[in-house]
Amino acid sequence: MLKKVIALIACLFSFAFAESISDANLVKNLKVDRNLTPLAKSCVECHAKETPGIVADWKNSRHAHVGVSCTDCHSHPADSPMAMKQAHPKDSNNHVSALVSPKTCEKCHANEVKEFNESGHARGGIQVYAKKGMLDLMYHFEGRGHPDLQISPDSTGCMQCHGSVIKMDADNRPTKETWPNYGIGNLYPDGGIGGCKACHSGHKFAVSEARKPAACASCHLGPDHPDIEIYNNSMHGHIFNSEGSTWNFDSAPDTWAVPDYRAPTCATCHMSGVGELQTTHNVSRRLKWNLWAPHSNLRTGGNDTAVSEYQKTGKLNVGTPLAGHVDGPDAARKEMMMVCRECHSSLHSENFFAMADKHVMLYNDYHKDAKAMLDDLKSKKLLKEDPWADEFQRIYYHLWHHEGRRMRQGAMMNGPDYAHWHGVFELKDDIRKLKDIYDKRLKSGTIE
Amino acid sequence: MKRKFFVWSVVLGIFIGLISSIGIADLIHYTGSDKFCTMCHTMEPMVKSYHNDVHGGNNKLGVKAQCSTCHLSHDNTLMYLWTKTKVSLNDGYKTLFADVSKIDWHAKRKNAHKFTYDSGCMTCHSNLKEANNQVDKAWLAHRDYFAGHIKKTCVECHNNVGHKNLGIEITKHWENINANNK
Repeated sequence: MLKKVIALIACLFSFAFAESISDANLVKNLKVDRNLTPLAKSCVECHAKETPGIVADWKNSRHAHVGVSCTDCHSHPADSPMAMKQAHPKDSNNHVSALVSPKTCEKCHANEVKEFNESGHARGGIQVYAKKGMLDLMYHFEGRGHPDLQISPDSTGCMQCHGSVIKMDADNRPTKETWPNYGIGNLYPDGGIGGCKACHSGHKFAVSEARKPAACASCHLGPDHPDIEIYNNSMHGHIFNSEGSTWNFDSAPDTWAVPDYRAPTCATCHMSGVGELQTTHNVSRRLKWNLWAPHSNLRTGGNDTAVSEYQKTGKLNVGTPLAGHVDGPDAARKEMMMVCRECHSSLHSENFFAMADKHVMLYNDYHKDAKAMLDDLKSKKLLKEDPWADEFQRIYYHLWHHEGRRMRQGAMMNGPDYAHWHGVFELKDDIRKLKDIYDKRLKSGTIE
Repeated sequence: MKRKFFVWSVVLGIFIGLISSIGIADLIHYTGSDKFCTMCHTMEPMVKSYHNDVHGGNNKLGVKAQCSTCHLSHDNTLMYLWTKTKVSLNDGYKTLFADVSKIDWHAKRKNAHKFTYDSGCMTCHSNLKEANNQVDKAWLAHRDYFAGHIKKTCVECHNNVGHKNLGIEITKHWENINANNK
């Protein structure tokens, strides 16, 4: 009997010993001393256990190299509209927020935030809430005016990309209706507007990540602006997809140029300091046309005004739909062509853009006719009040918002399948359908 | 005789001028301190939050920046005196003749860059510009500022500097006063 008991106890001890050994192998304690404050060190050391993924991202970041730590971004004065009511860690007198707005980022990256504020990206969120039509679509038509659920098309849909007006609860934590999201144009309680982590995912913020098409693709995809699909359809995308994994995405800003890569990614054309060009976070700057609107106009609006307007008046606003280069659309095109010149002859890029411009103008020709019919029906009261129950208005919407954008963006970014089959080919059908409905309504004087 | 009187009066004038300029300098210096600025109760929340702040002496060494260090221009003596005159006249007038409890103190904080001067910050933080890779973080963060690539003032980024939790102090102070007046 005694022997059995001893054997059992020995077994238990050996299990316990094995367990403690394996624990020692599994749990890794981080000890850092990089001129960080004691508080910052304690954040890193505790969160390495609590949220190891976040600390792992940070420790692989450039921020960690230069000693930018948790407190530099997440600590706020107690009177900040974003600071959590309770101190963290407990009894520390330190107040934190999960939110980090561009107002924090711009303390070190002032130029980047300024350029971003001048771009169309900056109005991504606030313009949605400033447009009655968009609010109707989200809450009334899609959300069915449901007392509890009408918010979901907003918080689970649109604002995930566009950005939301982030609100705080009684403890000063962001509310579930407005956060988390990765929106490009979030409006933070401290007045900061934007979403740096939309492209530079937190907490690593790697430049190499933002330079890859995937950074843009989580929003610029799908039926209405299939930019990643267009890119993949293009020769640029083909080259990236076949050999991009071997390229160097890590050069310093302004120095990233061939032969770091053999074909441009989204960032290369729209942002990077290629050749004589300087890096910009104003993604609208090198664009000649407005390709998302019902009618494509030249971008003559200069810098976007959404952020400056908000800072002046505190009002949500639609900004500058024709935001582009501050010196106008020709300067924008000239800058874009400077990117092309890295690899292509000027004849090559001039020929390409001459034909791409024609495709945009051809789209405008379609839209002009469709809009004339729409306006005529409207003046004759031959449109249904609910646009989504009206065949004519539905087709018109798809003509500009889906087929039309694909046609124009496909042309400008060299995605022939989108410029043609998903684009102008469908427009050709749309315009005929619109004409049929238009004729029928005019003849009968009623809505079918 | 006349000539002698002239020489003596010039010498005496210089002497009196020198002596009194020392007094004036002391006076100017004293009227820029937290003791003087808070003689009226309007500035109570400001000075309270200031004393709780690193810049108000809440640090290991007890070093303080004076009110005037941040809130007057230090470009040159003339600018210093000019901003001091402007501020004194404004504050004196408002305190005596206006209802200071009606002022939106929270809104005024948004204009901090209009009454806080970079030249003041730089009188103490004069080494920031020369900072090298021993303090990577501070140097990197201010590189664009000193290169002139950004046109922001110190307080536009450091928007709570000098007054710890000023928002809370202002709310407490004026809520109490308004409640007592009712």
